[in-house]
Formats: sequence, C-alpha cells, structure tokens
Amino acid sequence: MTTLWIISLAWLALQDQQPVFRARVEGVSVNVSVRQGNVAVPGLSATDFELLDNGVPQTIAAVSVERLPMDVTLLLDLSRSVAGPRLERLKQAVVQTAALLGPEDRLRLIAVQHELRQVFGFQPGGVRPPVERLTAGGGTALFDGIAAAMMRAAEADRRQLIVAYTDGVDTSSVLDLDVAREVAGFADAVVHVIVPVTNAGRRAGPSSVAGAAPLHELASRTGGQLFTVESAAPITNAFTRALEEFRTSYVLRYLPAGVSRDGWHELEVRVKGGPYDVRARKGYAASLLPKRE
Amino acid sequence: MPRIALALAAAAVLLGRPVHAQNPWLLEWLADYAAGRHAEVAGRMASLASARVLEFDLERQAPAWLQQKGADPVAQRRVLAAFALEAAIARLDQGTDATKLLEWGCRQVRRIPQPGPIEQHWHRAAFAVFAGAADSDGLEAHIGHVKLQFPTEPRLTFQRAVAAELRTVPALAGLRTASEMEKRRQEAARRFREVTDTDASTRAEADLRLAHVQIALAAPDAALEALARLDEPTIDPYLVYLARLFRGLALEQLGRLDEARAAYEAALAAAPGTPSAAMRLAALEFRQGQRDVSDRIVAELIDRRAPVADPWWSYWSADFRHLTRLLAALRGSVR
Repeated sequence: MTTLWIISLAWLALQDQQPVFRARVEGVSVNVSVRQGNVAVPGLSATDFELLDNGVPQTIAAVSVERLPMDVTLLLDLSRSVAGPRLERLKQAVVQTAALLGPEDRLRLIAVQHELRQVFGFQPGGVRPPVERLTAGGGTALFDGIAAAMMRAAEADRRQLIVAYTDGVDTSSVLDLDVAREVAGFADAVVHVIVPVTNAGRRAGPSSVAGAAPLHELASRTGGQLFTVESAAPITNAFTRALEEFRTSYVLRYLPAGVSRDGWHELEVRVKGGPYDVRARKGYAASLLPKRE
Repeated sequence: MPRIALALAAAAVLLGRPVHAQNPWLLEWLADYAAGRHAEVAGRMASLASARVLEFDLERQAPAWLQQKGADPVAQRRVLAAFALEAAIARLDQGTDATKLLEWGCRQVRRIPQPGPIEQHWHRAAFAVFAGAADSDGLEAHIGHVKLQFPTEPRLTFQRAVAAELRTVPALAGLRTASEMEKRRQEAARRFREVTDTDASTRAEADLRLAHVQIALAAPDAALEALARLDEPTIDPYLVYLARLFRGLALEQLGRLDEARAAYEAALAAAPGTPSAAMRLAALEFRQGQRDVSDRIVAELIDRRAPVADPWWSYWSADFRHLTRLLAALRGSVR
C-alpha cells in the first residue's frame, strides 16, 4: 500500500530539494507483506529492505510493523446469487470480523449490488454490527464498489484496508478495470478480494477462476491479494486471513529521491535473506491525468 | 419396476426430462390467465420451482388445453404462448431454462396459421426477454424464427445487432481472448451500422449502441461521430442520458477531460443523482487530485436511501426496458 502521509514541516524544510508530488504528497509509505509460507516474517528492520522507485534505490526513513489503528471497509457482493445460506454465512462473517478488531480500529460495510449502499458507517471494532438489514438481490457493480471505497477520504493516521467478497463477475459497473486500476494508483488502501471456490477449484459464481483474473490484478496493484474460500466453508476464515495479512505487514516510509515528479512510479521491494514471499503495491501515481486546479 | 419402465425412466433422466408432470394445476392457471387474471397468475409463477419442468408440463398438457370444447384454437394457442412468455419472465433467474420456455412459446406462435399484430407483438416481447436474460444465442435463433413469419419486421436488423453486442458483455472478457472480444465488438459495430443505414425506427438507439461499442474498441472519434447523429429533442430521456454518459467516456479516452467532466455533468442534469455518471465524475476528479470532490460524490451515492433508477443498469438488456409496456399490450390482446 502507498499511504500518502504527512511528514512534519520541519523535516520537509530540510528536504526541500526532494520532489514533492501532489499537494498532499510529502512522502510515500508502502505496505509490505513478508511471509515464509503462511507465516509472517517478524523482526525485520530498514536495513533488511531494498526499495526501488522507478528503478532508483531509495533511503527508507522508517519501518514498522504498523501500530496505527486500522480502518476496515468490507465490500460485500450482495447480488441475487448470494441469497440463501451464503448470505447467512456472510452476516456471520461480518459479526465475527468486527469482533476481531480492536477498539481503536473501525469497520464499515458497503453493500454492492447494481447500486452501492453503505449499510453502516465506521463503527469501533468489537461492536456488533447491524447485519440484520442485509438483503441480497440485483446485479454486481464490483469495480464501482472497490473504486468507491478507495475514493473515500482516509485519515492520515489510520491504515486503510478494503476486503471485498464476491461470488460472481461484475455485471453492472460503469468503471472498467483500467479506470479502477488508475484509481488504485492514487489510493491509500490495500484491497484484498475473497472469492468462493468449489472443491474442483472453480469459483462457485457464474464464472470460472479465469473470470477472477481482473480482480486478482486489481488487488495485486494495491499490494493485496485474491483469497479463495471453499464454497461451503465459513467465510470468516478468509476475512481473518485478510486481516492477519494486513496486520502483520510492515510499513516502509521514504521521501522519493532522484525520480521525476510526475506520472506512474513503479515500486519494487526486496527483502534480504529469504526466500520470502514479498507483496507490496506495484506502484503509485503522482499524476497520470493533468491536475485540475 | 418392469425393465422397460426402468429403461424409459433412465432415458428420461438422460434426456434431462422429468418422468412425471409436476404442475397438476397447470390447466387451472391457464384458465385463470385466459380469463384475464394475468397479474395474479404471473404472481403465482414466481413460485415455480423449475422452468424446465413447466416446459415439459406445458408440452404434455397443451393438447388438452387446445382441444377444450367450444374454444377457439387460435385464441387458446395465443394464451399458451403468452403464458409461456410470462413464466419465462417470472423465472428469468433460471437462465436458458427460462428462455427455452420462450422457444416453446415461439413454437406455439409459429403454428398460428395467419399471424397478425398479436403474434408480431408476442415476438417483440420475446426479443425483450431474450435480451433481459442476456441469451444472445437464443435471441439470434428467435430472430430467424420471426423472419420466417414476419420477413419485413423492422426491428430484426436491430435485434441482430443487439444479439452481437450481447456477446461482448464485459463479464465475458476474462473468459475470452482479447482478439476474440475485439472480433465480437467489430461484428456488433458492423451490425449497428447496418441498422443506422436501414431502419429509421431504431436508428437513434443503434447510433447510441454503436458509440458504446466504438468506445470498447478504443475508437472514441468514431463514438463521438455516432453520438453526434443523435438529435436529443427527438429521443427519449433514456437515450439522452446514456448519450451524454457515453460522450463523457469517449472524451476521457481522447484526454479531453474538461469536456468529459461537462458531459457527465450534463448527464446528471438530465437525470439528477444517477449513479453511473456520478461514479465516472468521481473517478475523474479523484485521478485529477480533487479528492474532496470525489469523496463528496461517493458519500452522496452510498449514503442515499431512496434509490435512483439508472439507465446504465438496463443498457445491456436492451429492449427489456420496454417489457412493461409490451407485456401490458400482450395481456390486452389475449384477454
């Protein structure tokens, strides 16, 4: 994830030869998941990481296993295909996810059908969410939903995670993958996507695993990933994995140096030692479109 | 069970056919429908377990219905066809099983010796339902059937183009190669161009759809050219809204972002609060660094409690948006 965090003015004054991207971009932070198999790798420091911005090595100013509170947005595909037992399992998963969050964390829920609807706004972790009002019906505007969640304003001192669950393919979005991808380039959140699969490894929705490729690509771009969950299994397991992955990831912070001010910035993060499974966002956009003043 | 019965049952299973009728009330429902209790019967149809079983039962009980003493066989057959169409709508969630009911209804219509406006109307309603089910193959086959019965039906060329466009729905993109999708879009564009050359009654919508296909083909200039042929004061608000939305999409592709923003705002002026234009506008603002603006637009969208109908939601289902009107006329004709 790239969070565009605000570094103190004093530090900026010392660094004024550094490029400053957008009005809000004084530094860049990158969420990095480092795992060996299914286990998070603990105890890494700045010297263990190499970070390249458009191929140029950067000096990592800070690294932490983030202690900042999390804002978790659950984005649930509540289209007609979810009606029945799956909807009940989803309700259960939302309640259990809320219970996994600390009191400093927050959870909100956006229902994705052909239209988008915030079922409840941010509420503290641990509080039982009002899931009784969830109903299924209509189509799925998933790209619109993910983009909408990414476009919501984020508070600088909170980490942003979006967990999207879908059992189908996008049927109603007006935003295509390209636009959703561009939005992801500007956004602060990590997006994990969860899709149910049958024993045969195919999605339980109307499409095969191949149909999930765009979602996988979108999630990867933010440093997130595509999780699969056995169709009949509790959905909570996948939500828990997504939360745990996010919670145990590192946050690298740096001021970009030696790179141009504009355009798309490819990011590459390596970890010494290993071999590790390293996942970070693919890059970030300083300005892809001409800025409107 | 004797061996022969077992073999028949096995054959029935293999053929995917139920062995026994499962809708014993069918003749009663048909009688209610024929008596004008259309909405009531349509309401009951929502509880049908299986469109496929109903098709089997209709086939099995149709002779008894058609041969009722003193009944006009043509009127009886029209009831059967309309009934099948209503059942297909009620169980559209069952996909091709539902559209097979339409094909069954179509067979009834084709057996009417001197087809007239009622049959023509049935076919138009069927076009709408095939499109609503996104069944491009079914729609294409139906066009062939209609052509035999009504060779001069003006909407045939348009429906052929719609069938081609249905083969380009974005949901298929992950399942087809890029070059295959490109070919399909080219074919849809070719067919829509045929419409604009031949049928004045569907020309405006064909131009709109041609523009949409051109956008998918990354040909924004051609899209704008098609949209420029639309004369807004003469077309319905659905087309006006979508024309403005698509103009925004084409302008974005050309990098003419201020004009794209104006197009989305114009679409929202035509249909205030409509999600598709609002979402495109939010995404454009966000990518141009106007995060406060995009956040406000998205917040309004997701916090809204009263739903706003969006023409975009029904874009892919083409004539399905006319179904209420078509169905009312059909019901009136079989009363």
